[in-house]
Parts: sequence; structure tokens; C-alpha cells
Amino acid sequence: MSIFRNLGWFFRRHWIRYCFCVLFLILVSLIELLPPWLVGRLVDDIQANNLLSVDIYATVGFIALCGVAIYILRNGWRLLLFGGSIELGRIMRARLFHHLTRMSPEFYQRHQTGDLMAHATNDIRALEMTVAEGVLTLVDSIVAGTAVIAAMIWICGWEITAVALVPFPVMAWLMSRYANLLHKRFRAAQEAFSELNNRVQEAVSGVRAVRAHHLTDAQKRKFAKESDKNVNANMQVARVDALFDPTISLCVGLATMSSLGFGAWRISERLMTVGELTTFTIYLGLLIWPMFAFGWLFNIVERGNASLKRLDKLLAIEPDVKDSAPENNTVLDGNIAFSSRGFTYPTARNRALEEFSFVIEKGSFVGLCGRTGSGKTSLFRLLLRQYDRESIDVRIGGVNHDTVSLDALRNRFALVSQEPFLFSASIAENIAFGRPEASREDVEHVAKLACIHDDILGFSEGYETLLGEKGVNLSGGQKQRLTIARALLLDADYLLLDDAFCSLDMQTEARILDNLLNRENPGTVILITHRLTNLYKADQVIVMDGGCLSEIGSHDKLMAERGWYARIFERQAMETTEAIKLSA
Amino acid sequence: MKTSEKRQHFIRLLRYGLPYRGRILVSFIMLLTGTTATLYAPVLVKEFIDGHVVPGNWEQSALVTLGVTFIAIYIIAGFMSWWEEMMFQRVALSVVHDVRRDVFHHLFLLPMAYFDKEPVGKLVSRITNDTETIRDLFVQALPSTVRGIVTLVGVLIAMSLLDLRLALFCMAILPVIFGGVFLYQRYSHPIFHRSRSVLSDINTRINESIQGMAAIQALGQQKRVNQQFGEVSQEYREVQSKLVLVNGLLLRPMVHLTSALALALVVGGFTGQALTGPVEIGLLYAFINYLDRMFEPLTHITMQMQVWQQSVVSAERVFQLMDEPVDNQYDHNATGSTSTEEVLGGKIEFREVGLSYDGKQQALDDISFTVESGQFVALVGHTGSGKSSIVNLLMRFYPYQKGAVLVDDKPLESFAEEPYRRQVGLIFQEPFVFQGTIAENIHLGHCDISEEAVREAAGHVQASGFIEKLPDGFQEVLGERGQSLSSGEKQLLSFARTLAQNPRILIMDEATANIDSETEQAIKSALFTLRQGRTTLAIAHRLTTIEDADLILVLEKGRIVQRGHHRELLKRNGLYRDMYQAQSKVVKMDSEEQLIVGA
Repeated sequence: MSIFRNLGWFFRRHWIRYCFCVLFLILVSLIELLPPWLVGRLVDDIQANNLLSVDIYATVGFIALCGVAIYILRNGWRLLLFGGSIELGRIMRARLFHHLTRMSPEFYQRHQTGDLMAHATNDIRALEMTVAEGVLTLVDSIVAGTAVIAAMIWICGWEITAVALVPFPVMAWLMSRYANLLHKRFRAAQEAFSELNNRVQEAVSGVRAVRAHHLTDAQKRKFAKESDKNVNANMQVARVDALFDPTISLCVGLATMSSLGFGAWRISERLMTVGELTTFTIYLGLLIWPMFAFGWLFNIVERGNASLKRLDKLLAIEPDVKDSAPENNTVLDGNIAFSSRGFTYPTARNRALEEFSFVIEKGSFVGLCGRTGSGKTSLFRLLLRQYDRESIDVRIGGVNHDTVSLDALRNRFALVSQEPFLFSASIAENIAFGRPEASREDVEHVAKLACIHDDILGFSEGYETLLGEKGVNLSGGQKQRLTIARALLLDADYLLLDDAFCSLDMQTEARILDNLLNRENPGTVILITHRLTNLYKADQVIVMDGGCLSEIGSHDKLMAERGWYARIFERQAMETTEAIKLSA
Repeated sequence: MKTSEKRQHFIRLLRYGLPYRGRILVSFIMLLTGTTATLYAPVLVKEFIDGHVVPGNWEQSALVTLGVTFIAIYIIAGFMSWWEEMMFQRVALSVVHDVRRDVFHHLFLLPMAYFDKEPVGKLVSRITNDTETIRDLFVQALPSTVRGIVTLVGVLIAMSLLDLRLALFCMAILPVIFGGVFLYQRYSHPIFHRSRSVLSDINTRINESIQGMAAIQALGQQKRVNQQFGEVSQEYREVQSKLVLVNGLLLRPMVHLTSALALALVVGGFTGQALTGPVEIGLLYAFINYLDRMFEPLTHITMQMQVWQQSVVSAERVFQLMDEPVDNQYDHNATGSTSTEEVLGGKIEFREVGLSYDGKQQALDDISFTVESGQFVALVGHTGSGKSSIVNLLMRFYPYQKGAVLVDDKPLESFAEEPYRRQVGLIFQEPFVFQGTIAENIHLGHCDISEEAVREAAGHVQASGFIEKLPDGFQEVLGERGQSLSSGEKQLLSFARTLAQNPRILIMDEATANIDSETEQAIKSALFTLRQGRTTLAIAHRLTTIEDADLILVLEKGRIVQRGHHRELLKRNGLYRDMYQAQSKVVKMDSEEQLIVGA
């Protein structure tokens, strides 16, 4: 029952709602007791031959009235109870979402999208259900159960009540067992379904590969196997699910049986009337739900608890980087001085960066190159303070970058990352994502700089073309150019390009780069790239190797040093030498 | 969707049950037996009340008889109901399995063009989520509706047999119930659909935000997305509250209300009879008992209405996919092709081939060329020039309209699909990694490829290096799409895969993704190994990789505009030299000095 305690804050905030809700539930349980009692009295009147038509009208009218009252009260508690859980769902969703927006990339590497989605959907839904059905089953199993049993004892005597109730605890116990089993098997069935889903996903997204490698039959076989598993898992669910009804009717049947037998004896002994027995048998029917609820309760609570724990655990994760000075909005400007005394990713064993330092001058164009995994992207991450380490010291214009607020720091940078991500919105909205208030001219201006304007005009809806599942699919190069345009619109003084040209051909790359460097306020541009051919334009080139800074300086200087840079530059350029000679 | 269409889809769904009609019949008989037994129990009690309880004659033997019969009936009924449900569930799940299998198999018969226009997510959802909704129909809605109707009819018959006048009294309540159901349909459904669509909107938003969080944060838009999310959340809350209200007014509480009214009617009718003459108290018991049984299934049926509606919508979507016209070459039954002809030489010839994807624009126009067995031919051109179309044709992904494609001097169509693909190895620009181990990704389930051959192939293309560094080596399980591998490693893996198949013809689409220079060297030499002794047709993006090609075909707007050797083409004015120079222009301007030094 700890879930009710753990959600105490919520119940306290809505205590009036839940007080009324419980009150209504109690009233419903009490009113429900009246019609059977009235029916029993009428039966006794018939038996005693003193039935009056007034009594009939009064009773019939009263039963109908009870029905109407219960109808109103039921709607009342449903609105209160389900309204409460909808509110809880909304609060939890908003909390989770807000929390997600605060998490750094590290967090998203540790948690897969699918898992996070499961929290946002299944866990919150389970929580909503627990709060609604948990309260309902808790109150009903206690209040309604007690009320019915009390009425039985009071009207018909404790002896018959004791005899009739024997099967009910067994039923409650069985219900709880079944519920538990059902839940477990249901999860297995869901897993089987998700496996099936993966199988189909692979077959569809890899349809070319499947055909090219003539794997159609293999795919069909795998699918049939998964589908069979799915059938079996669902049969396991059905096997338990189908037990509920027969068990309930058997238990109630036994209770009816024993109370009838015992009642008949009591009546023959003149210890009970026929009317009382009639009332009693109807009350038996009213006991089914509270007993069922009692069995179900533990299961619901357990499920809700598990979900709440998962959510709480997720919400308790602190962002890796704390906004140490949220009020300090000093505008950082000037040279970037980066100095590392070693950096290791939280889950990694080896250092990603060793000890080195360098300075990037304000307004310069810097090329950053080196092998895959040499630490280039890590540099960007540390510049943007996606990780906090004592051993990393970044100063911009002499100011340590962790003394200002995260917003103030990150507003200074525009980043184009390796993998372009676009939102399901129109092209214009995507470009203006970072500055929604930007005018159409501004949007078109950056689109031209990023050499994507003509492509956009080629779509039937132009800038209003929708992207994503509902809209068109762009090529990798188009996506990349859109994200470049998006970053340019931010008008930040420091532009970070993380291999942002890798899907573009060399001509387009060169054109965009020229546009970037020759625009009105070029600011500082840092480009990570594997294609060195454009770096002759750079004011400074930094070469990384195994987490170390291995070469630094102007293009000419590095060429003269004859290191990795010169070697790779020449190899890439060599491929064209012959062309020049031949065509000359 | 029109009602007639709905009915058609529904009938088509039901037809899937035909192979199981025997079992359906048996389970239906069980249902009838079980229901009859359950409904007979109150009659027994009634007899007991009227015969023994009311007169007050306590007889042990009568009680024992009653007890034994009673328990026997319950056990029989319980067993029947369990068995019937098991049987029906088995049938229902088999039906869904069949639907799934059919739609999945159909997928492989569809022309490639279909996959170009439909997003993956949509197709997957058709095969899994929509069939899952159909499952809900078969395992939930259909049986509970049938059971509900059988119980309802059974109760009405039992009531009429016991006391017709009182039974008619009860039936007076039926119009109220149907009215409620009608109102529910009318008012609850639109809200229900609205709530589902808002929820899916919420989930899409969360999903997209999670995936694009880096972008959101880089652009500093956390506040804005939070606010937008809050708005959708609020909207969901409002719709949900409305749904609770409508469902409360028209669903369970409504059924309970009518049941209370029915009770009032029965009590009134019964005691009314008592005023004028003798009555049997047991009858009242029986009727009250029957009323309880009558209303429970009604609640169930009403609640299943949404499932009915959704499943018909889902069925339409599934059938739509199943009715998509197929590409006959994949349909072995249609072609009747049993040709086991194999590609032996590996000569490829295109004769005046024309291809159009949409019937309007020519993707390929009058393409003619010959690749002799063992030659290396490269395709060059800008995006959209038709390079990929030639590969697509040769892979038989799309049908062509004009001319002829010959392999080993025989028409392409004369080869059966399976043996043909066995001899033609395609290397993708972005290699596809299947779920499973590295070894499985190399032998691809073709059992004629031994473990030895897998290792050998990996060694030849220099893939062993990175594979052996993995914790489990060749048995390392690759995650979704091989996320743990770099793009260069994936390339090498796909080379090993192709080499292990040992095809006669090699078709490759060169990777454009940036691979660091070291890996690139490995890939280059692996490619050289791969080409040995095979006919190779390659799409080249970097012109430097094709200098040793036997023939280079330069394509522009679906036509071959130049052909020849690398050196020949460079000497001539034309597209090839333009492209070559463009690729090197950047370097040429500023770094000639170094180049000469380097050369």
C-alpha cells in the first residue's frame, strides 16, 4: 500500500476531491443495501397475507428512487476519481517532459528512446489506473464488503452469514493469484508482440537487402516463428483469464447452496423468515464485487508501485551539468582558451582527452581534424559544457565559462551536429526552430547561404512543405543543409560545425563554406571535417590524435611540418593531381 | 467508409475463420450447453424454495439431492465455459496468425516502387498494430458479444418459460437499454476518437523530442517545447474528462440504473400478482437472479463497441495492403517459373533499355552497353542521372518498359528469382545489418556456407581485424541495425558477406559516407580482392576509385553521354572531365605547389 503513501503529496493536494469521492462510494454501498431488504419485507408480507397495494407502490417507487440516487452518486464519484487520476497523469507527464528537456546528451546515450517512451506511456498509464482503480477497489473492498456483511448479520443473523461466507475468502485468494499470474503472462505476451514488431521492422526497412540477398524465405520462417510464439504467449494469458468467471460462479454457487440449505433448516425451526432468506441470497450477489476487488487490489497496487518507482528513479536523475550561476547572464566574447588536464566519459574506461591546451582567436576560421575517435567531437561537447569536469578549463574572453548561466553560454554558440535532426513541421518552421519569430526574409536568406533555397523552391509547397512521416523525405545532403541554415539563423558569434558537410559533394561544400566565411558577421567558425581539401582557407588547423593535440598551426605551417595532416592532405589531393596534369 | 464496405471487410475477416469452422461449432455447442446449465440452476433453487423452504418442511434427502445436482451443474458449466473459451481463443489467435502471415507474405510480392512511397513506420504498423486490433476483435469483442447475446436470449427464454407475464414486464426495459446504447454510440465515439488522436499526438511529441533533444537544446528551445507540450497535455485532460462524463452517464452507471428499474418492475409485477392470488416465492428469486445475469453481458457488449469499430477500420487498412497489386516476378505461382538456370559466365548486356518509374519521366533512355565476363565497368554521373536505375534494373527491383537486358546472352526474365540472386551480389551504399551475430550476418542463413568459409571471407576483406577485437568475435550479437559498428566496419562486413556468397556478378554502390582515411585504405584493397574473377558493375562517386575500370559509362539525364577508359575520357572535353576537375578544383587553386611536391 506504500503507493498511497508515496503519492501522498497528490492526495493531500486534492484531499477535498478524494473525501467526497470516498463519501459517495460509501453512500452507494449503503443505498445498495436497501432494495434487497425491502424485497425481503414484501416477501414476508406475502407470506403473512397482509400485503397492501400501498406498500407495493411505496416499495417499487423506493427501489426506483434508490436506482436513480445510485446513478447520480456513481457519476459523481467517477468524475471525482477519474478526474483526479487524469490530473495526476497530466502532472506526471509534464514533469517527465520537463525533466527530459533538462537532461544532457550523456543521459540520452544511457537511455534508449524506446525505454523512455515506455515510461512516458505505460508507466504513467499504470499510475493513472492505480490511483483510480486502487482507491476504488480499496474503498469498495473494505466499505462495501463490510457493509454487506454487517447487513447480513444484522438482518439474517450471524449463523447463516458465517456458513455462507466460507467460500468467499477462498475466492478472494484465488482472484489475487489469478491476477498475479495474468499480469506476468500478459507481460510475456507483450514482449512477444514487441519481438514480432522488431521482426517486421527489419523486414520492411531492409526490404532491398532481403531481396538482394534472397532472404525472403528465411524472413518468412523467422516471422512464422515469432507469430507462433505470440499465439502461445496469448494462449497462456487466456488460460488464466478464462478461470475468473467459472471460479466466481462456483464460489457464489457454493455459498448460495449452503445458505439455502442452512436457511431452510432455520426457517423450519422458525428462527428465520422466508423474506430474510430472500434478502440474504440477494446480498450474496452484492458480495461478489468487493471480494473480487479485494483480490484485484494487491495486483493493481503492485503494478502501480513498480511504475511509480521507475518514474521516480528517472525523475531523480540530476542533470550531469548543473546550472551553477543561473542568474549571471554576462555576454561571453573574445578568444576561446581551452585547456584540458584529461577527460574521461562517465561510462568509459579510457581517457577521451589527454593534457593539452590551445587558443582560438575571435573571428577566425579553425579546422579541426583527425581520425575517427580522436576526440574532436568531445572538444565541442566540452566547449558547450555538456560535461562538467574540474580538469577542463574553458575561458571565453578570459571569463571561465562555468561562471555564467548555461543559457548565456549556449546562446553564444550555434552547433550543427553530425547527424542532422529535423522536426515534423514545415521547412520554414524547421529553419526558424531556434528563432520562431524570424521573418521570412531572414529564413530565405540563411537558406540561400546554406545552398538549400533552390531545393526548397523545387518542392510543391516550397517553404511550407511538411517534413517527416506525414511529409516529404529529404536526402541526407538536404537535411544537412537545412540544419546549417537553422544554425545560421541563430546568428550566434561562434559557429560549430561537426562534420556538417559529410553528405555533401565537394563543390557544394566549398560554396557553403565560402558563404559562411564571407557573410556579414562571420564570427568564429570551427569546422570538424574528414575532408581536408577546404582547410587551406583556415586561419588555424588543429589535428587531434588519440585524445591529444598532435599538430596545430596554419595550413602552410602544418604542410611544412610533414606530419599526419600533410600526409592525408596530399593523399586526398594526390587523387586529383593526375587529373590536373592530364587535363592541362 | 460506407456501410457496405464495412460489411465486406468484416465478412472477409470472418472468412478467415472458415478453416476452423469445426472447432468453432464445437465451442459454440459448448457455449450453449454451459449457458443452459447455468440458467437451469436458478430453476432448481426455485423448486427447492417453493417445495421445501416456504412450506417449512426440512428434508435432508431433498437437500442432498439439490446440493449434488447444483454443484454438478456448476462444475459442468464452469468446465464448459473454460473449455469453450480455450478453444475459441485458440481459433481466434490462429485466425490472427493467418491474417498476419498473409499480409507479411504479401509484402515480399510487392514491387519495389511500393516501398519507395510508403514510410516504413506505416507499413510496420499495418502488419503489427492493425492486426493486433483485429486480434482484439477476435479474442474479446466477438466472443463476448456472442456470449452476451446467447446469455440474453437464454435468460429471456428461461423467464418466459417460468412466467410469461413477468417476463414481458422485464422486456419492457429493453428499449431503454437499446436507447442507451444508441446514445452511447452517438455521443461517446467522437470523444473517444478525439482522445485517441490527442494521445497519439502527445506520444509523437515526446518521441520526437527525445530523439531531437540535442537539437532542441542546441537551439535553446526547451521553454517553448515545454509550453507546447503543456498545451497538448491540457487538451488531453479536457477530452478525457469529457469522456469520463459521457461514459458515466451512458455506460456502467446507466446499465445499473436500468437494472434497478427492472428490479422495481419485477417486484411490482410479482407482488401485484400476489394481491390477486397465490404466488411462488421461488419465482421472485429466479427472476432477480436472471436479471443479474442479463445486465452483465450487456455492459460487456456496450464496452466492446469501440473494438468493433476500430477493428473494421484496421481490417480495411490491412486488406488494402493485401490487395496491393503484386510484382509477378516474385510470385512463383504466377510465373510458374521452375527454371533452375544459373548464371555461369556473368556477361551483362543492355540493349536500348528504357525505364520510367511513373510513366511520364524517362529514368533511363536508350541505354546500351556490354560488360564482358570478368570486366569492371563503372557508372558515373550526377544525382538523378540514372546510375541507380541501372543497378535497380539489374537487381530486378523494377521492371523496364523498353529494350532488353541480357545476362549470359539470355533475357533477364528467363532466370528464376532464387538462382539468379544467388549469383548476383549487391553491395549497398549503406549496408544493412540484420539482427543476429556477426557470423549470421555473413552467411545470412545460407547453410551451404561453412563457419570456415565465413572466417575466410572476413579475412580476405580485412574484416577479421575489427571482428576479433569484439568481445565475442564472430559470435558478437549486433544490436538494432548494427549501431555498435562504425560505417566503415559495416562496409567491410558487407564485403565479407558478399565474398562468402561467391557471386558471379558483383554490383556495388560506392559509399559516400565519410570514412576515416585508414579504414578507407582497407576498403579499397578489399574491393580489389572482391573484384577478382567477377564481373563488376559499380556506381562511383569518387572518380579516383575507378581509374582501372575497363569501361566507364557517364550518364546524364538517363542517357549515356560518354564512354571509355579513364585516361581517354580525361583527354576529351565533356562531362567526365568537368566532374573530375570540379572534384579537384578546390585543391587545384591553392595547393598546386604542395601537389607537385607530393607528386
